[in-house]
Amino acid sequence: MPLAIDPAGKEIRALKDITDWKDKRLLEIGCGDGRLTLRLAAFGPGSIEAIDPDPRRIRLARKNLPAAQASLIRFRTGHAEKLRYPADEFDVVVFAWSL
Amino acid sequence: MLKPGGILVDLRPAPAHRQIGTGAGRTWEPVARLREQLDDDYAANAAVAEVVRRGLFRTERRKRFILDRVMDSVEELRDFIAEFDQRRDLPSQAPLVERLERRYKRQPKPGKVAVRGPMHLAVLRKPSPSGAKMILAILPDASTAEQLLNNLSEAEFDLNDVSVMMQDTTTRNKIAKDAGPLKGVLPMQTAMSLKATGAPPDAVQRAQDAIKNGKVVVAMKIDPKYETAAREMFKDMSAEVL
Repeated sequence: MPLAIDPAGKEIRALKDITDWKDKRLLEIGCGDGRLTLRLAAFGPGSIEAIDPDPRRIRLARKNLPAAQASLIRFRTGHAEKLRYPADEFDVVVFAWSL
Repeated sequence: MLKPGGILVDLRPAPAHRQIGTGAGRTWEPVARLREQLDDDYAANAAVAEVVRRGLFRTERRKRFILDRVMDSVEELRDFIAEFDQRRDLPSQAPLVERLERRYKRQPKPGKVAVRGPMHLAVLRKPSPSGAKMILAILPDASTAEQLLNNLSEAEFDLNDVSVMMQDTTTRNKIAKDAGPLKGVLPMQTAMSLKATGAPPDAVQRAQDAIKNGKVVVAMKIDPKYETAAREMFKDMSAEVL
């Protein structure tokens, strides 16, 4: 079995408790292969834009994206230093292991 | 990009040397502490402190929790460690892994190994537009607060912008919904959350004391255009506006 990060689910429980995610428009910076993105999707956000500078990991994230969540999550290659989004676009920005 | 009043969630390893051990979850036993370069973690802390100091964000919540990376074998752990053993200018971690391997081999049957370390999680809120304000007031009791909410509603103020805080949450839930600038905040968390909104320390203290003394604290987010009218309505109900 490959490396299992947080099999006990402490990370996702901490995230769930820390704010209200329902219907929020969310940007995740440093999404990697989408491990955390798919978990955040379970909190009921309005949408998730997930970016990572590594195109290989974005390809993997897209490959792992369940069809049921395809309309909710968009994976894109992108750098935190060069974000190109309009002002006031997101309710929540998550720096996922990337600050 | 981030809306005014929106939040930034900062999730990352806390600046601490992680431990390696045998087992996982409740059966995990520490064997050695890794020697890691923590400069990046401290730099991230400093960067966050700087944006808070400059007023670009307010720290609203913060917590730590323990996170495990679980592997099936010592070989997998070696591969994992090799990544940062190569890129960091630190003493090799190999002796620590060997120590773990000796312990691992003494186990009656092959188990898991795990790297365990603390994680940092914080919510930082971007301040609302400069025009947005908050009225903070103390009311003598729940029925007065209820009357105030009725008056505000009749005047077409949005009760989603109003928080009602009191010790008796059952009564609170009867007269008001969980909304406004203190949405999701428990009575005992009121002071911390009010500080995060930028309320003056003396007002925070008086609000906290009022709740302890069985009074009701109302916080209302308000457009400056309607602030005077709203304040009048508070005063009409004998509110002590802070």
